[in-house]
Amino acid sequence: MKGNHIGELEELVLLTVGILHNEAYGVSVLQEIKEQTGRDVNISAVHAVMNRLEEKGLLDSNIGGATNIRGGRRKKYYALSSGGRSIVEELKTQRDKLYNQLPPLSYNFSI
Amino acid sequence: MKGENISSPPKWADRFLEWYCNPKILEQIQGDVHELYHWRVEKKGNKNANTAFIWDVMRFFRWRNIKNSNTQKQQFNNTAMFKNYMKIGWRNLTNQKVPSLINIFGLSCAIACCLVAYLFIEGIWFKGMYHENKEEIYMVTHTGGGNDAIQRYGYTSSPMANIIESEFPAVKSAVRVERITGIVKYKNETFSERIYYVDTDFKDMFTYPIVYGSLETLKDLDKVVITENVSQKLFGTTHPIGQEVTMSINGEQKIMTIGCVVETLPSTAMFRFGVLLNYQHLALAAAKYSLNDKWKEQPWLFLQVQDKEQLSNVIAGFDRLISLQNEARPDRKYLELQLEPFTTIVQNSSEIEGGLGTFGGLAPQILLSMIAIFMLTLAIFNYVNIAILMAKKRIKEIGVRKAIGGRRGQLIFQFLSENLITCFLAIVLGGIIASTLFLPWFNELARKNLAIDLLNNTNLWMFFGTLLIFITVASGAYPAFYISSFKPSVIFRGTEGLGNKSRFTGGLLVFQFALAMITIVAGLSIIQTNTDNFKRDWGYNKESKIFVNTPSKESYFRIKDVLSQQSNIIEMTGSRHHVGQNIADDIATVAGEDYDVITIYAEANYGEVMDLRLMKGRLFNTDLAGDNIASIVVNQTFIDQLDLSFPTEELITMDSIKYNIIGLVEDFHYSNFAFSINPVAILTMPDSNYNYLTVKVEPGSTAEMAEVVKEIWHEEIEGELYYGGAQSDVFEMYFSDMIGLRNVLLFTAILAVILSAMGLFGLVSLNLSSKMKDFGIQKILGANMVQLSKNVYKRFLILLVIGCLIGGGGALFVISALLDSIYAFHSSIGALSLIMGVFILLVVMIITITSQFVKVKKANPVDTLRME
Repeated sequence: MKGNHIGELEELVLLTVGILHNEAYGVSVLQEIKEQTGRDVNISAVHAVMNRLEEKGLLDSNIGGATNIRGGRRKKYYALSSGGRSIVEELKTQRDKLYNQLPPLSYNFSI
Repeated sequence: MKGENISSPPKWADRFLEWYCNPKILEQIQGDVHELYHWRVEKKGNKNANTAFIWDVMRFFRWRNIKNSNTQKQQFNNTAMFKNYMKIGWRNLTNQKVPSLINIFGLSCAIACCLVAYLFIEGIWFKGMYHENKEEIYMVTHTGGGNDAIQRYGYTSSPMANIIESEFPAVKSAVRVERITGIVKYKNETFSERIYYVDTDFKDMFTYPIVYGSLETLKDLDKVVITENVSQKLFGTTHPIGQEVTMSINGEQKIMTIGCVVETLPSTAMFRFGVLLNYQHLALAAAKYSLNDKWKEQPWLFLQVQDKEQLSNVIAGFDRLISLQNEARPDRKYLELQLEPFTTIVQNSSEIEGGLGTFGGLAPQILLSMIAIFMLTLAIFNYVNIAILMAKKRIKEIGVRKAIGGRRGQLIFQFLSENLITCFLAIVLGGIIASTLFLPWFNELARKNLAIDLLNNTNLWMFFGTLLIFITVASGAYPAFYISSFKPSVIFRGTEGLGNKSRFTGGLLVFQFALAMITIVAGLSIIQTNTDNFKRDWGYNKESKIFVNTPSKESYFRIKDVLSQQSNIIEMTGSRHHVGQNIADDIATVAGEDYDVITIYAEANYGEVMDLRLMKGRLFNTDLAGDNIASIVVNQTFIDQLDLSFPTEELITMDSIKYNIIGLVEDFHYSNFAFSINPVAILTMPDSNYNYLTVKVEPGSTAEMAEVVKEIWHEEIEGELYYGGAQSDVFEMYFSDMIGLRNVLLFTAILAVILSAMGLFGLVSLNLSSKMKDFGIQKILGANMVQLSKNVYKRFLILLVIGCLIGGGGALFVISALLDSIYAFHSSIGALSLIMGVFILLVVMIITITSQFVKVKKANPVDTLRME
């Protein structure tokens, strides 16, 4: 893996999983994203992203309990791994650093 | 539980997901889509949720999620499963030996019948389909008019080939083919062979595998090409290349060297040659003739056109050929020339007069396929009945499998794959039976050379494949569906009542009895018809007459001279045609109406020598001048069909000559009994060009004199083929064909009876073995054999009666149609053959059931009750 570059949707999913803390699985992540950002993401895309993040070692997973609404099928829960946590931190500092260097908005057209 | 009723995602999409999805991640994915679905149902309603569900499933259809994409384990499991199915199937087969044997043997007999029928039909329909260039080859045909009837002919004038070859750029090659039956002589032995004169491009246009030598030698005028079987006939094991044979070419005896040997032609060959010669032989001879005579030669003509778009150009160029033809032969004008694709020659052979690839009539093909279908039906019904009863022993296995989650589809699949073993064994055995028993026998009977050629015949592989799948499904589908339909709870309670479904079993059995009945009646009716036809009056006295062919005018007189010194000969006559051998068609006009009639041209005393029975009037009298040119003697049908009465003043016009009817003879069989009797006119002709010489000999000396005539013929004539013998043997070939047909039908009947008896045997034995305890108790309580067996006999007897009624009705219908298509003269289906049919089936049934009851009788009730 070259570096720890992650894509935009990957970042979003990573953060959502972090937010949901122990309650993160396919549907909940999808719904959370929709609630928080208004984005309609397809469930298969969420799965694909979570699988990829897991492969990159940013997410951990464990099989959880069954519910009736799923027809007795078990959920696969995801949680941030330590690597994931640090990536989130790193991303945050990186973004902040970049943001801080942004020149202030100027309404002064005199330049 | 209510929630389930309200909404559930579309089943097919869910199934589809289960089908494609890797089982490892299926649970997670399916759970998510289901949860989403229910969430959407609450929020947006059913319809929206359904489409969204389908969309989700489609979106999940990715490489990563698809089965086996990253794991190989699944495949190993599959093979293991199949291995187990096969193992269980095999154990079941060996466990129940008798029923399995019945199944396999019955099926393989039926398959062997199918194979023979298939090969026979293939040989007719797929003639020449193995030639590589078949799509590019066309036969040139022409339409011409004769007697106002426009007819399409398969041959064309020989010079056209040269013109087409040199002036038509689109035509790659033009090949003339002329076939002649001729004599090949090797070391004082003569053989009659089919000789084809072909242009040298023949070897490139049609492809023939070579055994020895090279087809290039076709160019050499001193060399000949022969087939492997001719080579074996002529030279035995000697190496054929370079051997010298004597052949008569254009009336000259020539010594030819064998240049090439090609493989024996398969039964699907379009051209059935034994010897190939260069067409130049004929062309060189024709060069001596006038130009006009060259156009008289009428070989087949084949063109190879590689570019299909050029075909219209070729056809456009034909106009010039037609005008050339009509200039050279004003008596034989062509109206039009056409191209017939090589691939459709056989299908259209009935329209093309003098073409190639005779179709041989549909009747034998229909008969053979009927027999094959009958046998297959019988065997499959046996299979279905026995399979259902056999499954009774493993019903618990089915219950267990269902209880631990086996789906119905899986069970059906298992039964079908087990069935595949049986059917595969049956096909292999059927192939062996066909190649060792049925085919040699059939080939001798039908004078064919059908063979199972697995190496070269791809159609045959396809046929085997289709047959395997068809039989597997046809015989296995019903038992598999039926057996797998039971609920486990019912099975374990023991109330599934499997095998008691007697209506279905009975129905199949009735059908079998009906089929067997039809085949028996067919066999018996043919026997009846044959014996009647052997005894049938021929309409003239066929005894003490010998006929012989006379190839030329001189030979006729020579033989006549020599024979006249024989003391046993009473009278001799010559004729162009001969009763029982060769007759001609003509059109007679009476009072402005045309009728098709048969004409026999002969010497004036032909009627007397043949002992035709004069009814009214008189036969020809050579002393009366008018008799020689303007008189005819006709048969009874002539008078009847042409609406005349005898004596009549009416004059009959044939070929624009008016004839006076001077005599009326009884109807006689000028052809075999396959043909009805048509109006016949006997005409006199002067003593030139007689093709036959008929002699009447002293009674009792026929056989001896036939030998004498044959000897004299061979002394006088060389390089020709002898046709002749006692007049009473003239239909010998036909009768032997009819005996062959009788044997086929008898064989079918016997096989059908055996198959249905075997089915019955299997049914009864399985039925009884499940009732052994019943019988044991009844025996202990003092029942005798009559009481025990009464019900079983009664049940099967009722089935037999129904079967015989249906079969008898069917037989009346089918068999009379069959007889009508084969014979113009046949006996009707007598009550005797129907009664015999019922009787045979009854005896077979009683023997079969009784043989099973012997077991019941011998069994000690203690043993049967202690069982388990």
